[in-house]
Amino acid sequence: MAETYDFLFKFLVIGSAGTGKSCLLHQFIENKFKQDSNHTIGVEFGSRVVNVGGKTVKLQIWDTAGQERFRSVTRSYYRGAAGALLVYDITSRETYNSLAAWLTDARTLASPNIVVILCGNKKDLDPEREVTFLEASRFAQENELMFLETSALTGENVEEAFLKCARTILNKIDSGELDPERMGSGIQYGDASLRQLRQPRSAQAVTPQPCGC
Amino acid sequence: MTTLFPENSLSARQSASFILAKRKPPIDKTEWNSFFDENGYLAKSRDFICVNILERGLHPGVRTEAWKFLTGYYSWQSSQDERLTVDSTRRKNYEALCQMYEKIQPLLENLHQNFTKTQNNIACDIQKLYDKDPLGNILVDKKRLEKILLLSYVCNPQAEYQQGFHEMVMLFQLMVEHDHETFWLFQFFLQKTENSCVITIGVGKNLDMLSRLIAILDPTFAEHLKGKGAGAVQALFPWFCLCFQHAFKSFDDVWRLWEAPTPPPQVLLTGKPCRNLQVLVAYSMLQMVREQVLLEGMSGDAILLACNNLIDLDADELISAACMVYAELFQKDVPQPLKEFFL
Repeated sequence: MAETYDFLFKFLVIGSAGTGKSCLLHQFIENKFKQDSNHTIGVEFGSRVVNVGGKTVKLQIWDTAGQERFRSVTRSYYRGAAGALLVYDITSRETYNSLAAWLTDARTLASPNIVVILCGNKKDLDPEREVTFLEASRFAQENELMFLETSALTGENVEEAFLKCARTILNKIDSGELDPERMGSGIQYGDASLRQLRQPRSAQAVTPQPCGC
Repeated sequence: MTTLFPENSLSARQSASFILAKRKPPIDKTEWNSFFDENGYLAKSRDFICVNILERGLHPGVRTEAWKFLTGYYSWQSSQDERLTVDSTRRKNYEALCQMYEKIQPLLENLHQNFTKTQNNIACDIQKLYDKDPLGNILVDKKRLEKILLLSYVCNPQAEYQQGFHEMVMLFQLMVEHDHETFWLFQFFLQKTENSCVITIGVGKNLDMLSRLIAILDPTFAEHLKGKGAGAVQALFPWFCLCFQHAFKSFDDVWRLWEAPTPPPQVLLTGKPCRNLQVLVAYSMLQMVREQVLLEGMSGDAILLACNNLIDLDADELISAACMVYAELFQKDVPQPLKEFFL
């Protein structure tokens, strides 16, 4: 069954173990909090078609393992990602401290142009907060990231995080900053007919990739 | 009944068809007891029992005891009395470990940087663990599970703790009654399977052997996996880390696979038809998506997505398919490293 959409974006959800990555994904896909979930060993997938700025975009989301010992093996999943949610837990300084390392991985392994949104998750646990909003905002600014505090439990800002990231990618495509036809851009066109309507950027013929997932 | 020797590919084929035909039911309590004499010594050969387990599986009622033999918790040469002694020793040893752990815990928390981190990881994994049956009944005691995992982390510096262990240990906990049994069965399982599921130890080797296996048995597919489908095989490490736990529809299927050949796990435990069956199992699973992969010219990412959708499999079918792969492999001229890995 073919879904119709204009673009497909590959998204990553990365960050330390226990920050709530899978719950964010679940909240976004199912609109509810996942009380019992299996941990992620390799990668779990989720996808949802969203409307952003008049375009239909299928987000194919790769939720990766957070435990340190899986880090080297999950790096292979980064290839060709267009966007990423970089997640820490506002009640755990340790997860915040490791952000830089995750970010480096994303930029070197996925693409230097990857659009990253920083998510301070577990916003609902404010009394146990160890990382202030201001501090994380500074980190985001210094590293050219967008930033939101989210709660996978209540759903606050979860949708916004994914959509904001998708919107930024679309803007970059429109401005020509991102080229969907470049190998490993993490962006695919939705279907052949739509592809035909567009003015090819390069002389080279590019086969549109139908997505059957 | 076939006698199974690793070098005999015909018998592997016979086992494969035997498993699928399901001519005989799983080994039940009465039959299991008939394997022993009046003093509880083994009256049949170990090979006879292992082949039977591979081909027919175990009835849930004998699983606990059979697993103690398969993992090495009990010696195959022991009498009933000796086993009672072994059980009591294992219980005492476990209690001693618990006491030791309680004493050193404050020290670990203060001095060992990774301890607190791992402690948190375990707590977090346990909290998330889905522990209910389809009717919503609670299956396991999470507090006890957490304690066993922490102890395992502290006492087993080789394997330490890896996300996924909590799910594996839960399966042991469901099988046996006492914590000491859960703890030791898991330790023996890791040892018997040569830490095949530990990402820092055995998983890389499994993946390497899987690639070599594909290259020998299916050059066309191997070519694709080197080209457009690059990266797919390496990304399949979760299959090995979890001993395929997520690929099956029921816990019974998972146990069935694990008990089938015990060098690596029970089919990963009996050592039949060969060592390291898990790689043949992985190969068989990849074959399930092969046609689609080649037909659609799938990329590495797409292959991974397709493999991730391999769930609700049937253990008998998979073990049978793996036996067939084994039979096929040993009709070929196999390079030495691969031979050594499987024999």
